[in-house]
Amino acid sequence: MKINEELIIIFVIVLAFFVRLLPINFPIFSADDARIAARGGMLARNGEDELGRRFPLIFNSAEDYQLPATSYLTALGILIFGKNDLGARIPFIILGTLLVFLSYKIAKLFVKDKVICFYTLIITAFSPGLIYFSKFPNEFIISACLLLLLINFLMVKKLNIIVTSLIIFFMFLSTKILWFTTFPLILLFLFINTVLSKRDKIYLILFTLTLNILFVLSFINIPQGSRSLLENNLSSFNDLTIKNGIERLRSQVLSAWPTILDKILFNKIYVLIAGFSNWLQHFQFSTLFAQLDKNGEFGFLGVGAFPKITVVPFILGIFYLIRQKEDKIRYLLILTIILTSPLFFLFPKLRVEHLVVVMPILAIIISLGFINLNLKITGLILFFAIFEATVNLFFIKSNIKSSEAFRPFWINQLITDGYELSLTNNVAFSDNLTEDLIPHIQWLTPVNIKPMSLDLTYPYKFHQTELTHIKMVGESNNFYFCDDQIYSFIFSTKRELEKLGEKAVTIRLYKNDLGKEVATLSKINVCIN
Amino acid sequence: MHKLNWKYILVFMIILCGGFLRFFKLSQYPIQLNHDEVSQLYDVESIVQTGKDIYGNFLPLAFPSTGDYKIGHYIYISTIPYLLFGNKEFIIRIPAAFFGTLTILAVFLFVKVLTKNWIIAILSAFLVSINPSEIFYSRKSFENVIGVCLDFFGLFCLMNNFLNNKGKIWGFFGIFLLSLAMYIYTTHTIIVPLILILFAYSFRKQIYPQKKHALFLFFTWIIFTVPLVVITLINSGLRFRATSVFISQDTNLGRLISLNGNTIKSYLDFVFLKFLNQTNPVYLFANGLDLTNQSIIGIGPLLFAQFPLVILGIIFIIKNKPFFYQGIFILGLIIISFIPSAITFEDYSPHRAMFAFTNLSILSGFGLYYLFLYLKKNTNVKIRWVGLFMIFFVLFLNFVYFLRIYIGSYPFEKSEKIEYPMKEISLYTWSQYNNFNSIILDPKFGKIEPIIGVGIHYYLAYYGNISPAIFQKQYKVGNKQRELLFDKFSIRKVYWPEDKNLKNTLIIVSPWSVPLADVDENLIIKRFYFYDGTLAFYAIKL
Repeated sequence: MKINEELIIIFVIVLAFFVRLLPINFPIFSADDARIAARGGMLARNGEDELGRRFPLIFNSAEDYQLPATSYLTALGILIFGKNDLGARIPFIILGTLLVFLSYKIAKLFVKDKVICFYTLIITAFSPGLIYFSKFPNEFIISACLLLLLINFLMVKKLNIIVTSLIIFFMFLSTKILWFTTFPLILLFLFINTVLSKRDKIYLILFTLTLNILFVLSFINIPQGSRSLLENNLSSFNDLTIKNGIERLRSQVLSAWPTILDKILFNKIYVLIAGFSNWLQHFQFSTLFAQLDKNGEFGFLGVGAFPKITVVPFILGIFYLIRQKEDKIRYLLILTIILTSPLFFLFPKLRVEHLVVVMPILAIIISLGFINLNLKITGLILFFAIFEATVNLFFIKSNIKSSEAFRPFWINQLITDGYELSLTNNVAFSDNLTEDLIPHIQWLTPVNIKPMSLDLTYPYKFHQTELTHIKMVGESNNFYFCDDQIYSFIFSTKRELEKLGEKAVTIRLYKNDLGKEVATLSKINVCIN
Repeated sequence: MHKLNWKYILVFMIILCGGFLRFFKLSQYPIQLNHDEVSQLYDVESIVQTGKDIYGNFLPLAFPSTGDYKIGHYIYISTIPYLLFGNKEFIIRIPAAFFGTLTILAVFLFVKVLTKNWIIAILSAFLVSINPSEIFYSRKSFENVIGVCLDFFGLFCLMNNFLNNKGKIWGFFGIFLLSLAMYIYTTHTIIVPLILILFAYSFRKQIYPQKKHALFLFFTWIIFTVPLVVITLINSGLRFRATSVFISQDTNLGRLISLNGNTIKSYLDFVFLKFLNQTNPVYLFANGLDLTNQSIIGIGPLLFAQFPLVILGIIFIIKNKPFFYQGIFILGLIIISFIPSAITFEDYSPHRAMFAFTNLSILSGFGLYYLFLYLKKNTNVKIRWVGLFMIFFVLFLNFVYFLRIYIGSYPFEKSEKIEYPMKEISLYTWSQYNNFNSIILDPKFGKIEPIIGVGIHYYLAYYGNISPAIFQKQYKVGNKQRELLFDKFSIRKVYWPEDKNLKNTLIIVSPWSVPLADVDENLIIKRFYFYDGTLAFYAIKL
């Protein structure tokens, strides 16, 4: 019986691995994914990042600083499997698969019924959200994995100090969000785990707190570090829509309406309401069960974090948790709140990627919903859940089309053509062809990257605009005729095409993933200022 | 007996308070009749005086109105206040305000008979009486308010029959009222059959002993609804209305189908998404009524303070067995009543989900009761009173916030949505009637983006006191773009290069159609502004 049990678990995990592995080139890399993958390639090759820094701990991107865990993990994959899709993605596929097993283990810590834990295993294995985030380089699947690992090591009688400390250390290296949640999480688990010695508890508190302070202090010491935190992690306090809205509503004066009442009704406390609303917005049923990311950047088209049918056991699971008098299970709700608390400060941004850390916990809640269902209905729900998760894999083309603004597939051909031409000519690209083209070029081609010489060690919101023989043309750039530094081939959008005028000879047109002509390759000899 | 009286007095006070909130300054807030209201009002006048709508249709079931084929019951009901109070603007709002007030009583009776608990019933009625969506929709001529009221009375009657064994006649009344609701508004045509199924399933144990009677009621319901089915099938107006708002008209669905290449999957994904979107807490408690343009700073169909009460209500029904099945029935009603919004073309349509909001208010009544019980059980008298004071203070403050948004900000932020300042334009136009040979109005206007005013001919006719009989004869569709003609009025798109050569003509146009810079300043004789002072239209004298 025990062998059967283990066999089933292994079977589900193997299945989980394959649904994460195939198709290997999906989802198409976004600019950020491509940046991490290309950087991983560089780190694997010579230990330097795209700015020529040797084994740095902070990286740069177009939006924010990036912590090192994701880039080095990608580098490891590329070191073993080479600079290709498999190499860049395999560490995350493995982590995603490991997460399935860890979720099972965590479920066992909270729930006595083994069958429920087995349901958790299936739900996490076939969660479309978790499958998606296991398929490309990202910090969220790393942090989710480390978090479950930490919980696993916290729910013991005797603390393994070295391993636990290392996990906490790596958690701080994976994502800034965990800087906000790790310490409260530790406190919660020290509260739950009553058998842990006082010495271990004090060590954990001091270690986590010290490390947390060190990381935050080091980060805000980086030029623009505070700005990065304020803009990307505490945007609620920085947001103008609330301030402007309050002022606007206050200006709509009513006769006989006391001004003091307006001051009571419309004031900065609204930041808290906005923050709370933003937190709630992430937890709406439609995000969890119908469409994870409405923008199309994360998640399958028309699918939530979990299969649609699981909304039923989820609601029943919540019912079960409310009715349950056993404290340990009820902590699942508190755990969910702690892990997602940073969303409170993110108004007005919807960042569904931050839900990845709680998806395993939500999977346990879904599994608890099966307690009051009979085996036939449970089987039917699980069948439909697996069916939906599998069916998604047959709609890859629709997903590519729907996410083409963030994850453009069509640029592959354009970049290949551009790279070949750049071997013998100077080539220019419009910088509005896609969100950020350079990382894609660095990832998709063996272009020789010369480290950029920059005045700043840690440039914030950094866009690279030049590679060997390749230049990005912005809105402020203009074309003129000259003798040296001639650009012979221009990959242009409508904007640059108008600037080039009639002298440009069209060689090729490129269609985006929706079949719309969006780029033109033109032959012309011009200079760019 | 003495105690009982106090309870009734409390209920009466709540209804009185709810009535006050619905009727007080009914003609002033909202600040102007919107295009639906003015069209209904003029059609009421037309029906009373001629038996026909303004297009000459004899007692139509669906009024072509502003092109949206309004179901006619609200118009026919409004003939009563028209006959009682005469031709006044506010009479078109009276039926909604009246039934909105009656809903408080209906909710009280429904919850009382469902839970057998006076306090929950009173608290639910209280929360419904101050509910933003209830007040908002009760103060405009909206037929769904009547439907919601009938639904609750209908359910109350059915429960009196099957749960209280008060006599079979109650069951008959219940079926009659629920069937009537189906005629009133399409939302109820969809949800009433589902409500009946839910009712039959939830109370199967109580219904089973009276199965013959239940079967009789079922067939009675079929008989009552057959005419509705027939009318819907044969009346092209009703069919048009149903299809024009159906989810298939949603452009996002079209996009999804073209991406997926699979219609069934797309429909499944999209309907499910839309359905779950209706439960978005930010929409429900923060900004779903769309009364402001300030992102999160707005008002939802429910007060923000009701959010924790709804959560507590859910916890209460899950934890307390005596209320579990009743609570589940309420939850079932909420789920059912979101279906119409999920299968129509707008992202959110709060006007179709009113029944859900009322039930959510009832659920928050359970939550408030749970809080009372908690305070009673766990605190001493002093803290209990402080706690009670705090709860009601927060609710009161939130309600004052709603009033401030509704009375103060809503007109400033959304006046173009009620086609403001069409009344002022109509009155001005009539004041200039004798000075011009022809008067042209361009319906294109707007603050942030252009919209087409669809009720201008109604505004002109109503505020010009044109006899409906005369209007019916004069009204015709012109040859120019969007052109409607009657008397010396032409409502159409203004093409300035041509129209500037007209003589002895008054043109009223917005900057969207003719930019101010294109017109000689001396020709502009009057400017019309939105409520916030932004230029809406201006009058050109040619």
